[in-house]
Amino acid sequence: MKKANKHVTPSSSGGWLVRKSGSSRASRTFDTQAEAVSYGRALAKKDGTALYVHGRDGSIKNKMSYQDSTAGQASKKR
Amino acid sequence: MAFEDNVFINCPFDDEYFSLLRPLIFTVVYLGMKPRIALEALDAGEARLDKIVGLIRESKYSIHDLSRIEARTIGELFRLNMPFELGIDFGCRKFGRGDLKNKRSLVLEAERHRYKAALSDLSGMDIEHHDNSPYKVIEIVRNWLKTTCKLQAAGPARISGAFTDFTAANFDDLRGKGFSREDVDNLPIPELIECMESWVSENR
Repeated sequence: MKKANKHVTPSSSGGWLVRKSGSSRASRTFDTQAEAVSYGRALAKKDGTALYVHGRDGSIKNKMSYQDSTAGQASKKR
Repeated sequence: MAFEDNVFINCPFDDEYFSLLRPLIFTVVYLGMKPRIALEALDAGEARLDKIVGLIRESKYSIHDLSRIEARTIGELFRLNMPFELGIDFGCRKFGRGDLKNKRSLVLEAERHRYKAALSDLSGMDIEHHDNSPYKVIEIVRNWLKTTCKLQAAGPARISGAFTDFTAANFDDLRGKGFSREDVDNLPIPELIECMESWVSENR
């Protein structure tokens, strides 16, 4: 099954959140965008998906794609 | 486009306001309504005011954002287009016949009660303040359309999440069609509405 992409967006209650595509809820919330991006990037790498970093206006400020990554398979190879 | 489905959106069209306009339009589209905006027929060669009057006449619902009418620097003139178009809409409802008497309007402001200093005649109308927050715009517009149009509506968090998903999908789609990052950010509003309608019809 295709894994959902990840998004870093501003939280309505302040701070930044990481959520998966199709979900109404945040996976986690953070005080800073940098912390949220770090967590989101790790999730995206693990699942082999993309991470979109959104600005306060919703626009895409950055996209990191790990769709060809083999990072998620690393533990299976051992 | 049916009168009952049309939502006339009266707001500024500057880069700063686009951060609120995009989620506002998306919420209207997501809830199955049709946004009508003065920018939708840029090349029609029709006088701007005639076009706006036509949109107001064709729309049962309207959303007027007065949050940008103030002058911010010394010497800058305040902006009168939004209150002027609100006045046309109000007059259409008051003096119009038939369906026009059933028109409904939502007025948005940035701060609570600020409008009273500039347009106290509005007292008694549906006025909400959004604090310049995109999420709050989604919440206010969703709640107003849900109640006024008696819609089955998803919650604000789901609509906000869907807006995020749309933005990402549209970014990929446009980049794949040869748009630069700047092109994506500057996509004309009528084209953006088409993209939203297409995405919502496939994903809602």
